[in-house]
Amino acid sequence: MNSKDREGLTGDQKGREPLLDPALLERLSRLSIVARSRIRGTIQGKRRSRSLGSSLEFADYRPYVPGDDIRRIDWNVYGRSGRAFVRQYWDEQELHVHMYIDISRSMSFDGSLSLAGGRSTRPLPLAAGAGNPPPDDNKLRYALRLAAAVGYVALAGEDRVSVKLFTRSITEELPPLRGRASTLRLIDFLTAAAADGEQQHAADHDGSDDLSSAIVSAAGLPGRAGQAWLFTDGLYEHGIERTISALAGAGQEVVFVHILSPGELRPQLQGELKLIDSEQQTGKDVAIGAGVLQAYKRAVDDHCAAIRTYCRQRGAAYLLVDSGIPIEQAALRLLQESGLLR
Amino acid sequence: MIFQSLASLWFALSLPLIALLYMLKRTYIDTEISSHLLWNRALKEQEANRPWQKLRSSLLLLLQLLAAALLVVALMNPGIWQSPGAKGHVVIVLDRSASMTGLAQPAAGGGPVAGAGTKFELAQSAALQWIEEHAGEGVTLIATGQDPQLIALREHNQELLLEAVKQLTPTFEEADGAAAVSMADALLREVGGQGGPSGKMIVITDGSWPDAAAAAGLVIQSPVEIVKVNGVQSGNFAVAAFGLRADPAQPGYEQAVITLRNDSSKPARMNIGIYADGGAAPVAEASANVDAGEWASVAVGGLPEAEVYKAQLEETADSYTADNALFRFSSASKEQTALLVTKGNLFLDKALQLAGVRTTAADPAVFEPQQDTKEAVDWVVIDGIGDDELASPQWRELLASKPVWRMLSPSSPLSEGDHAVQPGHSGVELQEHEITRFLSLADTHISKLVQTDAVNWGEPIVKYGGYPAVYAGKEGGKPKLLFTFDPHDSDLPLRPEFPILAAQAAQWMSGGGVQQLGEVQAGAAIDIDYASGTASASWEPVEHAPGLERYVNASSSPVVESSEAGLASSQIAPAIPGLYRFVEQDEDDNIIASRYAAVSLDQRELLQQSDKPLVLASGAAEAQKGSASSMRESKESQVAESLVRWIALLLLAVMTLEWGVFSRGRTV
Repeated sequence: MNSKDREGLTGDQKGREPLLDPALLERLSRLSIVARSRIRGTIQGKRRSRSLGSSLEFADYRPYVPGDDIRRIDWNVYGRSGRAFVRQYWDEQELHVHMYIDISRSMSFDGSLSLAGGRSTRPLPLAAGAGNPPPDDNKLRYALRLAAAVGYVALAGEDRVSVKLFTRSITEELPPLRGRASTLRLIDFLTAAAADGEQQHAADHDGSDDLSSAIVSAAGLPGRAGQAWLFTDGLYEHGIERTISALAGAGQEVVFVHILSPGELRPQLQGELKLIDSEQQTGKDVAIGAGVLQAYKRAVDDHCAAIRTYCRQRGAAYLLVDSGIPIEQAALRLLQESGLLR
Repeated sequence: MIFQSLASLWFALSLPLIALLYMLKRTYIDTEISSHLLWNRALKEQEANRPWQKLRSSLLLLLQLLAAALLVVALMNPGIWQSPGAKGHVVIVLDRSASMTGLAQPAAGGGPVAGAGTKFELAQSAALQWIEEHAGEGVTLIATGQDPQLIALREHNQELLLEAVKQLTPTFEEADGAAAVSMADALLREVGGQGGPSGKMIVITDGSWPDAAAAAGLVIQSPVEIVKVNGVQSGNFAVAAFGLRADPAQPGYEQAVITLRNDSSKPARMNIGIYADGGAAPVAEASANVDAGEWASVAVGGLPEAEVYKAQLEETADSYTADNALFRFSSASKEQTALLVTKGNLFLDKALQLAGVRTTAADPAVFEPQQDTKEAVDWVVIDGIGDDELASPQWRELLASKPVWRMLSPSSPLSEGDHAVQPGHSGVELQEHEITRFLSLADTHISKLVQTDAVNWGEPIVKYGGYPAVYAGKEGGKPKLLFTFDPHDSDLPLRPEFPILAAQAAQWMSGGGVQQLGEVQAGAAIDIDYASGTASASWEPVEHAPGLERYVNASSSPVVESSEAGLASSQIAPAIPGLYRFVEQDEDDNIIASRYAAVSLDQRELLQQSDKPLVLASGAAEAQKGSASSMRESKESQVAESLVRWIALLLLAVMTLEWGVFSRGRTV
């Protein structure tokens, strides 16, 4: 990576906070995305394909039939046995990494921001690791940073990366990039999305309660097999199973990155509150007590477990990420430990 | 716990109002969250009963409701039922009238019921219990009787009080309950002073008062509580009346007429035994069927002559036994024989015979009294015979030993100092006397009277024209009667009043002899004519009324009152009903006379048994309802105040807690 690249990756061209810091990039560049199956691509890449091709990796012998490239006949074998055998090699192709990032309002909901503007006099304590800088409670920003990390790893590994942002439909799309040199474009795209997310209130980022409405469509589903990363908070009433099924059916290895903020995992609300849905702006009067909080936590656990179970059934990877933990930890340890990066 | 102002309960409506306000409260703090998705799931269960959900989680509301409830309770002005009379002076009026000796419970069998508890014992134990439970600011104990008896006045010593109550015995004399209640009220008022009575009165009674009407008329200013001692209300059988007369069929025998009363609720066959002179076996028996609540009379003839007869009910399961026997004295012993010393007085002779007196006419000119005369004659009438004609020793002895009724005649030789007068007018002055009862002597004319100074034994009971016309009195315990005019000098014998006068005079004369004392009421005063030479006297119980033996003890044994001047002429009859003998002794303790007295209890007590309930109108209370409610009021005002204080304290604590909850902002 040249210095220009690095500046583009880490520098803050528009006076914004960098999505990834250089130390993290350094460490990410040593990783690559793990694909669990052989890849069938179009362009030669670093990954072994499911089809035989022209790489250096030997696959098998087979008897020569007329029409075969005579350059591939193993003459040594022919010399010893008098029969012509053709050497076959695995084809090495690139991996196409599709990243779907949920930019609906619930993702860009910033607990502390809304409370400051609200009428609450009580502070809403948010879980934060002691000694850490203020965590990025904005799940969208967190998702974009994770996506940047994954995308960087993919580009660095000579894989193809494409990004789709969606709310109730695909709103923006980054055409497939390839090669480390494209990192800058990826970061630019994601940074712009983050900036967009911060102005979300003006924009039409209304989410839907159906995840599949955006992805399971002609524009949404990827045309080629590969790996599909889904960055979302999973706050959809339905459509999650259908989306995973559809992606798997489209030849994708699905990675469901479930991002929840500490305020959602462990709400520390008290008293009589009117809970306003950030997407639908509907209110709900709740007198919150210990019993209600317990019921809520149970609901969260049940929801996560349901998604996890479905992912397992469909062979998809599931990763629950607490946006309260530092991004470095999530990018390195979490992804690594779950076997998605290596 | 009682509430004086139940109307304040309406304020309790504020409680649901507070809850309603809480439910309608719109102070939910807007809090934006990312999505309702998970909350919807969490709240699904709680949404169902949403309004109550709000209430549950609000400790603040609960505390406010509690405070409001306390306020409502305080408005209702609660009070605690405290033990009555824990404050103030308490006067216990214990009814000990004869009816209290009735059984508290029906007798188990038909046999003697001496072992069963009486109402009086119940009343005693009620009083004991009360005293034991309430050691107030002094207890005054009043027992009813002929006069109310103050047993203890503002006594603080519980032991003494208990002992005093235990010592009480029922009385069979006329019991004046109204007087006792009135006295108790006066005592309470005296203590209460200006501020009104500070204590209360507790009347322990069976409610059967002969003077209930008088008691109801009393205006009692103190709170009264009537503790009713319930006994057997009905089921009493009684010998209501017992009379004797000479048996018309068999001369020399007596005939008894007995009236029986059945107070029970069902008809009964009542058996009577008549006993003579204390014999163990009845001389005659009779029985009668008496309907419930009815009276019946039965006549029994052929009774042998005896001094005392007793009519007693046999074998009855009776709630009240003291009225099961009555004593009567032989009617024969009352027939008198008078020696009429006269020259001839047909009017007087006939009048005395009408009065039931056998007369023996004697002319002193031809008759000298003999020894048998003295025995045969009960008293002597001297009709206008001068002293000189009766100067013989026989006459003197006879006249000294017998009661004498003398009529002076101006025409006969007068004694020294006597002189005849002619009344100036015909005005009659009558003294209240046994002889002058029912008489007016109006329009009677007496032409001449004898004025005598020699009368020092009696009082003039009739004066005519300013001069004494009739003297009556006693000399040596014997009646003596003196008419200072000759009936021949008057139109009196022609008047319809004359036989009455003669009969009453004869009765008066008969009383001088050694007669039975007759029937007297227990505890009542009786006039006793002592035999001459009587130095001491005593009551001897012969037989107590059935069932009353248990009340006989040292304190109730009758005493004969005497003073320095000798025996008092008025004596108190024994307290316990029954048959008594009044024995008179001379200075050498020789018995010179012995008379029977049938002591009975106050008959009114028994008739009142099933009468209307006793009502004591307390001044403070409205109308008849009474005593109990007024007592309640006086209690409440004292205790309620303290309860309100407690509630205020509790309220303060609740408010403090609420402030704590409010400042911490905790939900449940």
